[in-house]
Amino acid sequence: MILVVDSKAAVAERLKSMIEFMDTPAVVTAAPGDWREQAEGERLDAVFIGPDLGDTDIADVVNGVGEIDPNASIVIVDNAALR
Amino acid sequence: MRLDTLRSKYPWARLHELSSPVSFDALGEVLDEINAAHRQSRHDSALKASSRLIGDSVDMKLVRQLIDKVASSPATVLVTGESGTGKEVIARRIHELSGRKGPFVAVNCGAIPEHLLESELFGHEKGAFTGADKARAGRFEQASGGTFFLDEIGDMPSVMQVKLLRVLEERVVERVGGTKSIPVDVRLIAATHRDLPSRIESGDFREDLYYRLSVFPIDVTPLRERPDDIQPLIKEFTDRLRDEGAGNLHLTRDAIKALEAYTWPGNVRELVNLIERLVVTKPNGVVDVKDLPGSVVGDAAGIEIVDAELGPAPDEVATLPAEGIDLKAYLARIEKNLIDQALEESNGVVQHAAKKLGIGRTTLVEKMRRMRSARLDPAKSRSTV
Repeated sequence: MILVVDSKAAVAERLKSMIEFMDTPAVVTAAPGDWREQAEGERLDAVFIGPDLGDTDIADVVNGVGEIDPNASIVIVDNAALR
Repeated sequence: MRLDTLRSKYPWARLHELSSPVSFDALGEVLDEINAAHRQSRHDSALKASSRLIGDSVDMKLVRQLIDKVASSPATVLVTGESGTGKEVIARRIHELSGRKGPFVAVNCGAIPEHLLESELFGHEKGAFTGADKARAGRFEQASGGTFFLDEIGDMPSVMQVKLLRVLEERVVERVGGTKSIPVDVRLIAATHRDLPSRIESGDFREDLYYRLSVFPIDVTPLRERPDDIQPLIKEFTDRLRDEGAGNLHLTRDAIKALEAYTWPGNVRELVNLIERLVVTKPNGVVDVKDLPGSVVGDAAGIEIVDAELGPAPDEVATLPAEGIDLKAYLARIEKNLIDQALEESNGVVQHAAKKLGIGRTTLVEKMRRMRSARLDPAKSRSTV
């Protein structure tokens, strides 16, 4: 599963559509507060971290992904916190 | 926080970056990298899933004997052999038989950037460098009471070689930014595909460290020099995939003969890779020589290859046969063959395959889509492929 996390649902959905267009199925979107719930118990291939995570710390998401599956790839999309 | 800081804080993380607005080309490249990385880890886990050493050859029997001899001693072991021969499997087996209660911790020296390696191995104290907001134990400490496996030791930077030598001599580590010596009880197993004596001659590896590491050397023979092991390995991997529900694969005698004649530059890892690919392309099927990739059967001398599905390879038809040919279908076969080869040589990374073929990524993706839809609709294949 590929998870797209962003506080703006429209941004997450647009990224989801682009990933699906590239023949990659099983893409799910989540708000920054809910991403863990969506990811746990799934086979996580990658997490796309969108530009806006609201109050969620990007380091917490990276660390959390590692706790669920250290082999999952993490793609950071022009995140505001890293600018 | 910057991406570099995230990388130093979480060196294990497979981080990628995309700029906004996201382009299809950039997204495609990232997805290719993700797919390639996942394929690699699936192969690696298949290799590591069992610490059972497969093979009836004299060489593998000798390796098993050496493991039995050394396992219960505290001696440092140096495992040498080409990439993909299963050096980590040997290290895990030694750990299992050692009776040591602590964990098996593995670090690939070649996979960690030089500036992060010291912190990864020895840990750091809070404030030791930017981003070190709390103290962290290194891998040596994590392996306490167990076995520490240092893979690709031949790629370890010289500065780190000195520090490792000190740990081996004094059995203590010092965290980055720390002043305290922390005793560590670890059994060290190192491995490399490099020729360490020649690295010593060229000044790239310390001689004193080499002698410290090679207390008990185990050399793994490349797969091409032990063809007797091919059949048991195929059986092991096909059984494992069947048990996982991935499919039941059967290889004909000719196919096994062809695999035994192949040179296996990627060794056991390459064999696992091939079996996994065959399970996908021929699920629950019988695999004959014609189903094997051209790069594999090309090495198999004396084996006649007839590809009934694709017809003769382009080089074999230099002149137009009297009965004529279907030029469109013929050219489509050539195109398909070349695309398959390019994808195979690029480990499925479309961007790299497109470069090899001298076409754009989008063009290649489009061609692959058309080939896929033609396969699903044979009638369509005659007119569109």
